[in-house]
Amino acid sequence: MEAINHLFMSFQIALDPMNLFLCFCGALVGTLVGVLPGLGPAASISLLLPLSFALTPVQAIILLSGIYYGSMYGGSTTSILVNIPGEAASVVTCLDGYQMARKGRAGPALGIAAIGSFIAGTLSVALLMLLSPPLAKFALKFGPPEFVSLSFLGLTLVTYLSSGSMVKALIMACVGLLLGFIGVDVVTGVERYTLKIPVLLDGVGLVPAVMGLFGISEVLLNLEEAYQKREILDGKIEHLMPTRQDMKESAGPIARGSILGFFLGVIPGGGAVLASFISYAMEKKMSRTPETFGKGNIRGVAGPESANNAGAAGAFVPLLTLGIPCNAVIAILMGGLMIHGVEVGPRLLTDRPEIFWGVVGSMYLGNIMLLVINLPLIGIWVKILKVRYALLFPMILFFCLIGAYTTGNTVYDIYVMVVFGVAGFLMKKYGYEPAPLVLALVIGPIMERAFRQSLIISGGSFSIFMTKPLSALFVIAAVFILLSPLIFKKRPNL
Amino acid sequence: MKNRDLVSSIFWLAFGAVFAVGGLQLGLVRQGIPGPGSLPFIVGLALIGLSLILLFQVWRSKPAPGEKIFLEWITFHKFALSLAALVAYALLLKTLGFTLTTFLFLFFVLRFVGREKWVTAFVFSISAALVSYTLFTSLQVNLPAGRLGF
Repeated sequence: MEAINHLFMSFQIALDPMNLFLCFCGALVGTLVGVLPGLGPAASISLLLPLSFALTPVQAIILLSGIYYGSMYGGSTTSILVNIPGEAASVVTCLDGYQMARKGRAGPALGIAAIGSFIAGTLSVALLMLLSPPLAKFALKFGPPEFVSLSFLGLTLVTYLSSGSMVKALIMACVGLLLGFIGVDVVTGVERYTLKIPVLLDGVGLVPAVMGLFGISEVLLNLEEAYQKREILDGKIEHLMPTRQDMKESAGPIARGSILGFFLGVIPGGGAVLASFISYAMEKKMSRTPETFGKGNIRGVAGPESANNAGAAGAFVPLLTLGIPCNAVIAILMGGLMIHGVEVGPRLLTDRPEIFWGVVGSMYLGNIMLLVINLPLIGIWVKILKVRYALLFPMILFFCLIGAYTTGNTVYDIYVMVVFGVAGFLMKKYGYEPAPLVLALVIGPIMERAFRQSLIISGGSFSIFMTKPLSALFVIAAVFILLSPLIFKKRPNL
Repeated sequence: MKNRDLVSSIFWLAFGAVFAVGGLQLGLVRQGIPGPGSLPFIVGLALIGLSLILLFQVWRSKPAPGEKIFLEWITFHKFALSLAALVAYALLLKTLGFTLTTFLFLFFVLRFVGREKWVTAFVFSISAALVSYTLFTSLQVNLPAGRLGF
């Protein structure tokens, strides 16, 4: 009964005309940035973040989360038609999606991607709705020590699951934490590491940092490569609806992808990207004809595309119940909510229920909107794909400039962004991933406050993290993950 | 990655050291409770430790054939011109105002980085500047007007 009441409340919030409009805007922008390679959801959410300051927190998160799950839909279009992933979670869709398109089956590939995304999206919102309240209730028992250990565990998981060297990912997490310490210390009022630069008094701005790391650096990297001529499959895309045989083959992958994607999304460091990779590997392993994968097997599109949408929704669980961001995009959403003055954590569901239920309701409706935006209107997105990069990148740079400037109406944020842009460029060249850094930057200040509160409670003794049973469990799990590369020699390579 | 890892591990070693020393100066303990430098000191130490592990891995590994220590620039001028344009935007924004600076920025980047034709660059940048000005003012985003008044 309670669930039905909550569902009713969700739709009541989501059906408010303004919210409905913002949800549509989010879905539309999400599809656009998903389609365009070189502009991912992380950069575009931070672009729109300053614009959202004029909105209420509920309206803001409805808009911004729409961009996130919308980009999961859009990304597949580019993968299938151009063989370039529109964003990271659609990398594996290239393998079979593009091959299907080359065989003249672009229509069904796009169709099954959208249908799978819709089913997975809707199913995982339902799971989000059912699992979050009990989890948040449980997490209400967490005190500062538990929160510190849990964040520590979250960060280690993120570094463990990131691709490439784990040492480098851990370095990124440490750097993010350290950058988070810059600014005036809230407890003592002491200036820390500001070098007397006024803009750093409030700390390193999340928006300029993210736009530098994901927006500017991406452009700088792309400029290095001579523009590759993108080959877009010409001709009309016909038969968007998959055949009955296609649907029958895809049913299993969609169902498995949805469940797998959701639970991988909940794990810090998991999320949409990992979900799509694992779903593809699983479908290939389970198939009786694994040799057809990579040659245009529809299961190779249906599974990963469902998994990445489910993963996107799953990632909202730890954000809205624990206040732990699982990936870079969610970290930016969390940063955005905090700028809006919302305290993100276990108390969110009881203190600001309208935020949680508003997101849930808007996700149900957003998924329906996305189905419409992506299937009948596919022609528009194909046209947008044909825009030259030489015209596109100046606009991306310009939007980043405006985004950085409008966060605090100061040009100094532009300098911060440029510094992070160059840093992001170098990090890529030297084999470092920005995601753990961004996560640590967001969670660092909250973690530090809890850390100092814990030590005040214990009178300065570190044993408090081990004497509380839950906290001890988190710490042991984190230490186990940190040491596991030494024990097992090799970590699953993703 | 051997040589590059060498460069980056030394960089992070220094980065961690700066923060750890800074943490010591800020104070680890104040009146019996953790001071403002406590966690920065701990994380700084962790970063030093991780850089040393990376350094150890570098020492154990073999370099890839033909790898250089620093980056090989394929198109350095595009990189430099884009950065210069971004910084110039920040420098000129308050003086020239939003619309004019935006036009100049887009025109410069389109023409000299993107190598578009003069006409294309001009038409595209002037329309983008005007459209974005109208859009942002209607969304009530505060944009600097500049000395010229627009």
